[in-house]
Amino acid sequence: MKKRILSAVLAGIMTLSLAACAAPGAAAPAAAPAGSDAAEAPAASGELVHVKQLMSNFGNNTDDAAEVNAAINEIANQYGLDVEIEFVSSDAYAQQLNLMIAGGEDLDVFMVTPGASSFATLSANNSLADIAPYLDTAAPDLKALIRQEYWDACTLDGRTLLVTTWDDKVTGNWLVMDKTILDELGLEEQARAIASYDDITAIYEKVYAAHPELSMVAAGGSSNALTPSEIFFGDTFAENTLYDTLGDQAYQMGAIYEGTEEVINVFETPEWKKNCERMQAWYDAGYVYKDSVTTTDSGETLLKNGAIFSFFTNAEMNCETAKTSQCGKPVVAVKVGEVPVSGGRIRQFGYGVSSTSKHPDAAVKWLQLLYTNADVANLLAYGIEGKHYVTNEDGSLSYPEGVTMDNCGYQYHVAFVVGNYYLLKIWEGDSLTLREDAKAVNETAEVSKYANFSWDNSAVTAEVTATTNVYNKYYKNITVGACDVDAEIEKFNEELHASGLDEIMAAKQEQLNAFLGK
Amino acid sequence: MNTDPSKSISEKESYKRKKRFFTALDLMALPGIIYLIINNYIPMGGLFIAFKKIDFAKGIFASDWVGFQNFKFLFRSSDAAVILRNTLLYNLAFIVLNCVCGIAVGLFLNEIRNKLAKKFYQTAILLPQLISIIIVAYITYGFLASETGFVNNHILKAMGKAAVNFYSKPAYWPFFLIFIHIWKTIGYNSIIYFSSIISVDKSLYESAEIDGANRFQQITKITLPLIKPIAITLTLMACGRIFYSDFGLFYQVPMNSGPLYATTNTIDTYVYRALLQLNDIGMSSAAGFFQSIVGFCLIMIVNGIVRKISPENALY
Repeated sequence: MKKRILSAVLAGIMTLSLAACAAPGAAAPAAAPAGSDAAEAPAASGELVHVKQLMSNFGNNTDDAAEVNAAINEIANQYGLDVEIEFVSSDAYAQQLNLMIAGGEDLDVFMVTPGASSFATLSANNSLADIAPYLDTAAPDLKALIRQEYWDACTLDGRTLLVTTWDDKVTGNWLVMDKTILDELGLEEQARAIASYDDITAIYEKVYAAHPELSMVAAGGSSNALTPSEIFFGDTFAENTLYDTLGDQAYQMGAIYEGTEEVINVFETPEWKKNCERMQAWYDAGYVYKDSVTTTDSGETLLKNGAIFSFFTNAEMNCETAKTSQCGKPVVAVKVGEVPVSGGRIRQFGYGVSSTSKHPDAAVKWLQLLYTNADVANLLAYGIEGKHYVTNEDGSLSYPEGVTMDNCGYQYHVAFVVGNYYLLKIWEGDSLTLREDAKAVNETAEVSKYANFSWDNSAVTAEVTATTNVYNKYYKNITVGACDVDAEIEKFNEELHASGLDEIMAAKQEQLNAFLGK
Repeated sequence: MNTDPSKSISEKESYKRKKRFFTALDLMALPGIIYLIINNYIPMGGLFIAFKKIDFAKGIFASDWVGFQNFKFLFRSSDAAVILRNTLLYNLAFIVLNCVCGIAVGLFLNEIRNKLAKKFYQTAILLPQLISIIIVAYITYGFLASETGFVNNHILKAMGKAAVNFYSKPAYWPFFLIFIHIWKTIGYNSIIYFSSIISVDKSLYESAEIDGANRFQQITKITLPLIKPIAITLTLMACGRIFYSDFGLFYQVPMNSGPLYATTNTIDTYVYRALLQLNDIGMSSAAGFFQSIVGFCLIMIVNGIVRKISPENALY
């Protein structure tokens, strides 16, 4: 009897686990064509050096990647390179990347993106090779292309670990409002002139009176929707307090006032508290979208669906055009804060060479080609002309006849990660002078004093995980204002200290002192 | 002492037949055994990663040893006690309720005489098992959300009560999570019990009936004692996983809402959230190692207790 039961249970478990295995198994063949196709090319000429690049698809359709890869190779072959580009779905990217490096698979170049494939993570486990020795010899044009300040920010202890994307590093914080509603109430002029927190409240008051069914503002849903307390208003936008997180993605591990030298806990500063209290006032007045803590919808989606009137976001200079297309309706975007070009921002996106790569020199040479050859860059971003896009009379691009966003076989419209943003043609709807305007700003933008500082948290990983847990527990709820903010902030800080915030800040301060040469 | 040649031949033959039979059985089990080896035994070799600081340039094997450094983060959190409590208490509740509800539903199914109705109920209670946890999370959200949720907008409002922001009130969640867990797993659990209930020898019931036992007595005196072994086996196996938690249930269903951590944070969700940014292989292996060791110890202890009380039902 016992045996029979056991075998029945085992069989049951097996069926379940087989079912669980089916999903990844089915997905695997999709990646195969890119590999097999590229493998055919080098057979012809022996001296080509094989370079493999792993990229996140950022949710874009890259079904025809093999074809695009072949077209890129036609150019790359002239430079003695045989390039193989593999796209991985963005949710699986970090996992796949780490497995490939850990497994010692053939991999030379990969994309560095926020999250588990961030610069901090990859440099901590030594996945990134030092490319400094190859830049001068194999890629002088690449070296000259990117600002020296940015190269400095990607260099740790004399080792250059990253080729940052050459794009807009300057961003601002914006308030994006539904233009239709502003027009209806005749508020556009007033909305464009907002200069302080109270000005925003005045707009909300009027809109809420006319549209009580709407929430005025949503916060914290997607990575892109900021809560206003992340923007650090002073009383007016001009008096903004700025912090630098010193290379961390969030503030929980201690930050610094721009221009000072002492690491502080942001959550104990009066500005932050005041901001959260303002949020609570909005929440209590019924202005804040009630599901802000849990929703996974972005501000754009909520505004598109008529659930909210406005949201805060971090974006580049052409915010109003970009958000109008993302929201599917006209919006008014007003800049409410500047963001300094921090080290974290410079190291946010880029390309790294794997420390397991067998020919890092060829990898760097390929990156130079990607960053300096307009044909290669446009192929990677938009695919093949005539099939995936056509050029309009004014020089902008659009989908060919009969092709739409939904059935286009290749579209990697993530201009900022392709490498050199300024080589890319303009997609229909964007300003034709967009690239030149952005380039001018980017080349002269002021870089944070701490941009070259990247902190190494390996001595305090246990504390980092513990404080991350506390942060996740309190941060959203407080910044959305959905609680008694003062009491929660007190509890929040108590638990942060109990989880080792002081050790983290001390470690950070020590490294900062060394950096500042004290 | 056997001297009869004919008998010895027949014995040999039967042995041969038996052997052939076993080979066929072994072959049938082979995929399962291979699966078990690949999926459960080979990965055990990777346990050493829990004691290393991984450096990809050096490779996994050549990375530096760091002793128990990687385990520290499990206990560093000021919430460590809460997390352990949640993991253990939820699992205890699940073990008890799975057993009680599974047997109860198995018994009910057995009492249904109409074949079509029996099939219908069986399918209906099994369906939730097949629904992805993400969908379950959104069904729950559909009920409990503040802006558009059914409960807040159609039940509480109609009753003239104030809306409740469920996703920031941890007190409600033990009930929600246990309810959802039972709703989702009851079909599968009850089928195991149901199948062992119908394999009980019918003649036992017939003789009990002749002796004048009523339906309830038949259940308590015949059915329950006979399905005790399977209940014990299933419970023992569940005890081995007492330090694991159903990640989807605890992460997806509460929509990863921070204010609910007091009652929804378990070891698995803590590890996931903590390492989402850090992506440290050593630390995640350490967490898995710790869970397995505790599970292993618990299963030994519980099995030891079972062996003391009723030796024939112990696993080994």
